[in-house]
Amino acid sequence: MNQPNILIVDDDPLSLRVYSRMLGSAGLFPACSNSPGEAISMLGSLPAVDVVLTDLNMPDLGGLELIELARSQHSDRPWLKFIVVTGAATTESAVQALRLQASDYIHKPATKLQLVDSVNRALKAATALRSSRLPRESTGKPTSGVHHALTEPHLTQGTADSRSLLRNMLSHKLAAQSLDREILGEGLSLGPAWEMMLELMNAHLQARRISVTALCLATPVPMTTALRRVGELVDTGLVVRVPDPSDSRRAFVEFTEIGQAKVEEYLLALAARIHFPPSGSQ
Amino acid sequence: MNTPPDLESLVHALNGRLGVIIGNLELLLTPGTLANEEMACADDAWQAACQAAELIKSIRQLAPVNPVVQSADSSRS
Repeated sequence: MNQPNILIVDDDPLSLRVYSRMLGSAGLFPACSNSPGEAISMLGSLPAVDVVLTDLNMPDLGGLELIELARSQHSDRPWLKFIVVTGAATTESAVQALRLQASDYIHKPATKLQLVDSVNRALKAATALRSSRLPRESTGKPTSGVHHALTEPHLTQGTADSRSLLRNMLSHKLAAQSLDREILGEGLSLGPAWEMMLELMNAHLQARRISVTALCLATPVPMTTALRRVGELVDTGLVVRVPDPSDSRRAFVEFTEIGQAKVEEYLLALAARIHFPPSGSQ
Repeated sequence: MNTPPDLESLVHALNGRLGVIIGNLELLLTPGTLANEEMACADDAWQAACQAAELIKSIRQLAPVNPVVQSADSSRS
């Protein structure tokens, strides 16, 4: 008996059918819903679902709101991956999707290859995260992943497990930041330079390079402020600008050894705090 | 409450229809697709194409024809 491990959410029945057929023809087994509200409850009744493919614009609840709601109502499944598909792509919604840890943002019209490739990548990442959490949950004891991670000198070059752990922690941290912003409002600074460091780590863990412009766009501050922060990070020796050899107008931002170590240290401290709360604290 | 759709949302909706047409045509061209599935794909592609045609009509009504020339003419007068 095949349990669906993908959930497709789109208010348009024609789109639902074509995505379902595309994935079905690649041997995948999706469940479908034409309402985000129904999709949230379906997640509860379909425990094997690891990936949610959602439309961005829907009448009752948008795709980004669906991600937020699903993450809060199914926080016991942090491995859930979301893919946003839209005919109305904007930089703003793409950045917001990134902040909500959507694993992909696909512009319509999407080809079968694009869709299947994206879903397969998300399934692979979700499976790795899910399995990295299972030993702790089944034994009821803290995972040894943190112990291993704490003793590994360079985690991001380490094993798949340690990378999963860092990704997991980063996902918690980014979700917490998004919550901070909701509570504090956009006007209050949450440290754009530190946000950039986390975005850079996110890119680093996904083995992709990030340009100065993309990094600046990922923060909620004006471009000029963001560029100043990049300059400060370079001056303090945490990152370096690396010119793109194929395009002289572009430069990438990369961690220095110190910068990378700082973020790793921070994420590990956060991991240790989550799994081993100090006595006397809440 | 019954506001007519703006140009941008019509274009976005058209993108969605194109996605359905392209997706179904891709499936139709995939070897091994079952005969009854082929029929369903063709039906859905046809339905999306009809919706796309309506959207294109609405877009043409909303979008001025050759706006660059028109604005140049009006600035001269």
